[in-house]
Amino acid sequence: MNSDLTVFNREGIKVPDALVKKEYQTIKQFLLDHHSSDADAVAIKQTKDYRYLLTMLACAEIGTTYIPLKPDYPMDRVSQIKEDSKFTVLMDDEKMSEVLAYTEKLKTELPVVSGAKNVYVIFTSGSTGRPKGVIIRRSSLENFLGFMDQTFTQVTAQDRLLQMTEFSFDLSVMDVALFLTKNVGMYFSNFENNIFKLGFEIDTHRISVLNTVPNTLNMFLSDAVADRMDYHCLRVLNIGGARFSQGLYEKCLNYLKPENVDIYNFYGPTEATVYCHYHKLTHDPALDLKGSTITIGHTIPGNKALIVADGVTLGPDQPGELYIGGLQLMREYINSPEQTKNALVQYEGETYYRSGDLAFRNEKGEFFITGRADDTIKHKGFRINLLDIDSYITRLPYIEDSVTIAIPNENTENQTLGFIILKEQKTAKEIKKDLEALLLDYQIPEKMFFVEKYPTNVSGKVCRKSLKEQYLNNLTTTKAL
Amino acid sequence: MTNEEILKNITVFIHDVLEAPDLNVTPETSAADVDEWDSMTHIQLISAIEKSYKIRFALGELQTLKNVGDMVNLIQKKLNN
Repeated sequence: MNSDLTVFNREGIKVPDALVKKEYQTIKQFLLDHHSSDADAVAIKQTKDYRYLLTMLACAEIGTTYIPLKPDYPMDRVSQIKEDSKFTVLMDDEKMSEVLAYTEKLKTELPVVSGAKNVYVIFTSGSTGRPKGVIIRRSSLENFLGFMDQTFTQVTAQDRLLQMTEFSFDLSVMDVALFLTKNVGMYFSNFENNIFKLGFEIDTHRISVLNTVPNTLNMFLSDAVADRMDYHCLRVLNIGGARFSQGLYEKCLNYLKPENVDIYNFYGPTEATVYCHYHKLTHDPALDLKGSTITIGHTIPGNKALIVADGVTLGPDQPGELYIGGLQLMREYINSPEQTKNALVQYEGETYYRSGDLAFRNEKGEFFITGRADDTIKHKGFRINLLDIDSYITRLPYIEDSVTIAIPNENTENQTLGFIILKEQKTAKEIKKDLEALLLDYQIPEKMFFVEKYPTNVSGKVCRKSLKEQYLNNLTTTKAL
Repeated sequence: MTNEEILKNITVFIHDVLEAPDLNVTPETSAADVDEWDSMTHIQLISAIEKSYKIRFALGELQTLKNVGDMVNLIQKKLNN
């Protein structure tokens, strides 16, 4: 590891270079001496700070697979992960204290690590509730790092990055990539859902690079925060992990000037090593959007993407499921051959990941995500896509956001429910009337609920499943209209 | 205005914004204790308090708030200024 790398502790104070280097060497030596065989894997469950980062980097250097976990994961989840991954050491805070006192040096030679070896396993929530471990090869990560290095030429060691997401969420690999390839100084955020604190951290530390999810950016660009700070220190903003809505796009145009900040819309499942598509916003809606959908752009070099429907590859402007192949494709789901078989398919002689995302590409080869395959439902005999409906609803100027869900029923196959966040007072009747100009009658949600927020999952994405459960359990605090 | 009066007033806002009319609000209550108190409702709460008291908080002041008691003290400080 380069000794010039700059990290700050959780109090925002720079950790002396010599200490970073010494701790890194100690962690690396301990892992090399005791956990560097092919059978080894290191689970990391420490408080999120620079030592977590050093542990991941040490694992990567000696070629031992690492498994980043959230520090507050309950032990039964950790046990499930251990059962699947057979990790051989759990590096939690207690273990780290012990490791930092390590003084032996049993081995001196670093193993030769091939690109085919696993580098990390990230556990996603999994639709069955049991976490799914996505195995990523070293060569896949190297491809992504190469892309980051070549793309972010404007980022330098003078830049300051605020590390926000959990290391168990692969969006954090972006942070690590910029740390490694550009030597950005890394601060660790303690914002803990207080968006004003996030604003304060950005302002105080003069943060210039931020990797985050749309939901957090949406709050960060709210009037209440914007009135108290300017965003001038920001130079690079990378958004990914969920749909970049038109409403958020408009906020970006409003608050972030293209001459000050470069904004990138990233797309990719964990199964394709963080991200496989990207688009640098031009701030020109004619180039960034088609209808209300913001492009995810072209594939990152080394990746492949196809639009497939009924076993046939489709041409421009034809919607189908997005298949992803190429260098960044995961090896498999750990200990889950059945799930791997469903996700990785052989198509035209190559392996592709079935993303489950509905997409199309334009003549220029730019891709657009229009929804999830499972967001398409049958309703009154018609096929409708719930995300598509939301994109139309949010065109109404007085609507901040919309999430439509479907509840199966016998009469209409599915009942459609719209959960709407309003910018100004409106009645459901007024909204339905306005929607008649945009949607066909069966596309308009049958029931509407006005809410002030949506339930989100750990990564900040709107959790439709929770919304559905809240409704079904009659726990929602909203009023049916 | 006493701290008790401020607490009583902002309790109304908290009940209203969090849509939790039965929530027992004390100076020790913090966002971490209340499921409904997340980033979005926090923004709404701060905006409602500023509007009502005709005061303005800076980011530096808002980032230090740990619980309702801190909020009461900050409002008191602003009113005295």
